[in-house]
Amino acid sequence: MSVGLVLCVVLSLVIGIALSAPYFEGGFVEEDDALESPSDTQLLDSKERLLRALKDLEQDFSMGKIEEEELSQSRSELSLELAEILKKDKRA
Amino acid sequence: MIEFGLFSLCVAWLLTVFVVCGGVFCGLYRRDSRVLIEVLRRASIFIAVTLGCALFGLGYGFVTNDYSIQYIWQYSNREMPWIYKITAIWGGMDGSMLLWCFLVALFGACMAAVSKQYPRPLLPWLYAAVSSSTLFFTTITLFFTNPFRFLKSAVMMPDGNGLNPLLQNEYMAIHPPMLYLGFTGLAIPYAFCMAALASGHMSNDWIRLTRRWTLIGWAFLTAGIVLGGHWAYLELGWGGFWAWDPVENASFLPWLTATAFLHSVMVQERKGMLKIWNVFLVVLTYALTVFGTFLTRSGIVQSVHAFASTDIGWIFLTYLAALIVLALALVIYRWSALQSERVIESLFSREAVFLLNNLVLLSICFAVLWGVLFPVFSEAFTGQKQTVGIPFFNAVNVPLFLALVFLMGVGPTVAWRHTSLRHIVRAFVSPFIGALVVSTALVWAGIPDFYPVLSYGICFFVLMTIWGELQRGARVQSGITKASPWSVRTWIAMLLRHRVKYGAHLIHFGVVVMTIAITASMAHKIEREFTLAPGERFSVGRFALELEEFHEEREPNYDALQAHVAVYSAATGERIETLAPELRFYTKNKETTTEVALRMGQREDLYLILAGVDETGSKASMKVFINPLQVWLWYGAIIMVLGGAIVAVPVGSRTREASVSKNFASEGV
Repeated sequence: MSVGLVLCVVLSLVIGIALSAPYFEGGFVEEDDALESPSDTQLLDSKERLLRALKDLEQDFSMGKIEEEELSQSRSELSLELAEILKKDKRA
Repeated sequence: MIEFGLFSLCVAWLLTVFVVCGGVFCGLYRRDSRVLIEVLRRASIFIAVTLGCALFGLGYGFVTNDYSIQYIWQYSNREMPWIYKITAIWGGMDGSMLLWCFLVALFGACMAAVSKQYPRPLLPWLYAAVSSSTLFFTTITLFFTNPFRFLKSAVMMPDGNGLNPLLQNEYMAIHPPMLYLGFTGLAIPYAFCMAALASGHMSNDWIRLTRRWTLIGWAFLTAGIVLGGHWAYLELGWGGFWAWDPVENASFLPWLTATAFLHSVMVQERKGMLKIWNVFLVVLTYALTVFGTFLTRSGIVQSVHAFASTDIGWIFLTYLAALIVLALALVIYRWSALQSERVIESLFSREAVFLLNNLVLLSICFAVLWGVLFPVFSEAFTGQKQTVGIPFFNAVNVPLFLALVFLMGVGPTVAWRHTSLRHIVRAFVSPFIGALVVSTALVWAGIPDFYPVLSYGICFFVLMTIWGELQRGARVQSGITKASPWSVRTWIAMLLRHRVKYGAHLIHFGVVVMTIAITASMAHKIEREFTLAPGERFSVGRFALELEEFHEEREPNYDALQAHVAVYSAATGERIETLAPELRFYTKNKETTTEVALRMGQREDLYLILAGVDETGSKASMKVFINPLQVWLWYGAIIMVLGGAIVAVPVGSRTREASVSKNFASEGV
């Protein structure tokens, strides 16, 4: 038997074992765990975006790119939005 | 071993079919099946393993001179050094397609290996989308350009034809794989985009993950393009590095759209804007990589890079059309989820500048694409193939590129949402005055042309804005660390705290360095042709060249004639070094090539070519180029890739939920 043929057999066996293993391993028992719902994801997205916007705002202010009035106005707008999100999150 | 290679390729093809079908099935009907998702993940990894085995099988054939295989016989011979036998794997179309398949699969495997932390709804579609790309290229390799085909000859060939002499170069080992890594790496963002659209999981996740993968592909593509330019500079002997060749352009096109995406994605991440635009850019980038492959392999354009004309062009066009139609259908299907959440509030905001930057990048992309396709259109409409040359590309792209460099100075300096007038004045007045002073001084010093002066002025402007940003950052950091703004501690803390931001500044700095080098080498290049007999001298720039002697060399696969040229300083007469440009005659291929002799310096490159020898063999015809600041082009590229690597390094392995919670805590919410 040639080396090439042996390698073909070995490769087939390795792939066969590796792909069928999850069906026999305990760690992959079918679970009916709920996937993250789209509304959860949206909330998380909004939270992340607002936090980022707050951070950017603080950073831009510290670098002197925006005035104090702009900072306080934008911060209060963003904080209000964030509070709304947190309320929704709590209800969920 | 050839049988093993062919068998592995067949298994890889079957696995890609399995992952594509299984991924679509799982995405549609079994979204919560962890077992099936795990099987698909493992299969995605094994596609790379099997294609690696196929590549190994072909490589083994090359190294052991198995000339029963047509591809090996065509691109190798016994005299070739072993390194070129390896690089000959991708020296022709069949092998290069196999390498392409392997690299797409390799990226797919890397993605699959780290995919356990990705959102589960994306996974089946993600595996299916990456594998669909691999399936396309594997299908072409297996059924149309199979490198394992046997030679149709009754007798065993004792030796092969050998690799094209121009490809017998060490850059062949690094440039094509690097370029292919760039191209294939950009299949991953496309897969994320398709997976998000197909699964409906349109959260920030896909966009955040896509950014990192795009950066990886972008960094490889940048390195690949620049290495190609360096190779052309050293090997082709025309003193330049970029000729707006159709295939060079084909690699530049996805680079432009990927760069546009890397900027606009930040706007979507922060503001929830430009969602459709980002989908368009990701799909366009991938489509352009496929288009580039089509261009190289269809034979529709003439290029030093193109492979022989083939009849597989229609397959590429069909695939291109299919992927565009699919993307369009999915965008229409998810139209409501792709609407912007905000609008641009001010023209003096970072999002507005990024949008402008995108428009400029896309304009360059369109101009280059038009130049590439013009011969095809002109032939279709007039019956005559007309080409556009370097003057067209330079005339259109130089002003656009300078506008882009200018925006690079503006973008990072302005704030998100809105910038105060006071900051605009403070941040831009000094750089603007500085740029004006530099430009005036250059005109005073005798540079008459408009574009070089403008280019140096804009570069100075951008350098000053970057420096201003660093200074402002150091002042803020010194307030936190209570140390001097000029202390090393402050700067290190600042750079570590805002790694991504300053990594991007480093990329911009690299672009400025490259722009200065390109301007200098284009505007102040010296080019001379001359003939010398031994003992005669020729002066050019700061140098005097003296032909000393001819020298013949014999290597296993070529004969060489070298001219030993002593380089002296024209001012002092001091001998600097000896250069040895040569003519090579490849005995097997019966081709003659020129080998450039190069003296690389920080101020300029001395680039010498032996064009020929007269009939008596006593006089050498030579060509010399003085390319100012050329070496800084390569330094700039290294800086860019380094910056890309800094930005692409992951922040940590925290889950997204934990990361958001931590941010809440740090913000005191």
